[in-house]
Amino acid sequence: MRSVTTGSYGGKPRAPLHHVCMARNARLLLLLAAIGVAVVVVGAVVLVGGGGGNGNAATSAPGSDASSATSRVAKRPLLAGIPQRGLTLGRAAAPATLIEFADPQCPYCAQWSNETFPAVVREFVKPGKVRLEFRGLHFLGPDSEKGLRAVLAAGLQNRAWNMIEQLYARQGAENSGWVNDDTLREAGSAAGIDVEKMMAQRYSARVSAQIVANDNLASQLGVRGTPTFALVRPPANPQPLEVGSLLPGDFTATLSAALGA
Amino acid sequence: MRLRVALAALAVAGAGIAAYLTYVHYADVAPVCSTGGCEKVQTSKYAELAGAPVALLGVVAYTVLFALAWVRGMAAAFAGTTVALVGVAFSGYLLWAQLGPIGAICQWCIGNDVVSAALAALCVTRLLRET
Repeated sequence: MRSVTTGSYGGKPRAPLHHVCMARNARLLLLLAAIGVAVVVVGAVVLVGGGGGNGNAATSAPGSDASSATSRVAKRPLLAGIPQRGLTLGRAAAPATLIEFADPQCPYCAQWSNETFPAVVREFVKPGKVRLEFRGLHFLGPDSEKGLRAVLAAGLQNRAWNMIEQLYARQGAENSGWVNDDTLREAGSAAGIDVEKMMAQRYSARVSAQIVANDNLASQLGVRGTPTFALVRPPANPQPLEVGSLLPGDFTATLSAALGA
Repeated sequence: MRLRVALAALAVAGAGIAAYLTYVHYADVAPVCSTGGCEKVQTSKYAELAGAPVALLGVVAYTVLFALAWVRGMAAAFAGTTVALVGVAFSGYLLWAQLGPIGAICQWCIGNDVVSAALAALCVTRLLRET
């Protein structure tokens, strides 16, 4: 009995048809096996270790993906080696000071802190071009004042920027009570400060006086929302920095232009 | 042969992207970015898997695919297809993470998505043609 073939070209006989079909079926089975392996592997990764277990991430406010930001802040010693004094970050001899008016509860302040602040530190603060100054406000409610007092108390230990960075990384829903002692202790610990000292100094006269001073400066400069920025280039008085976008590239371009002007 | 050369070329391109993102991760520098969200994506929890940067896993996967491109036979084609399909499925998951929970797009990740999708298509084609 002769095999049925698929024909021949140039005198070269081709494989019998049933062999071709078997080979094709084998390839399709292998393809299905590969797809199965891919589904199982990626499914396992997503379920077990892919970071998809935090529902907050999908529903949080802009820039407040707390777990990712906390992880980033903890992992990256962004502020290591940069001098801090009170509420300032950077060299005292820097030719310009960028003042940030921010509320601990403001989601866009958190977004700026989580996304743009690292770029500003790398491009302007570390090279000594700019010094940052934190001027905290508390217009969003009780949690704002609690958070702000902790940041200002951390400033008494020259760690205000570490504290605000940690606080923004843990930002919760507005006035939900997220600024509680546990949050402050955790953030303070991550910021590397004397937590008990910070907790004790939150309601000190120095901190209260700083809040009044911040409010006065904000009023003087006509600050109407946060984050608002002002640039100081002595001997000139602080000038509002008009920022069209808080995205890292746009913000640093605006700051570069203002410094070059 | 042309198919396998194309596979190798794509694997090199993918390895280049993954190597750059691995460098960014370990050097703690901001990636070059025109989409504005690269750093946010690279510092999110989705950028690591079991403590290792996913970009490093990408380098390993692309290296394996590059090597398999030069090996003849059904076993190599099957292995390459499996690795490529795992890669493209994981790329899809990361694309979902960018569009959803992270809320930012990284141009390097999109480039990787394109390369991994093309690699998967070529690997499947190779598997169906391999004798």
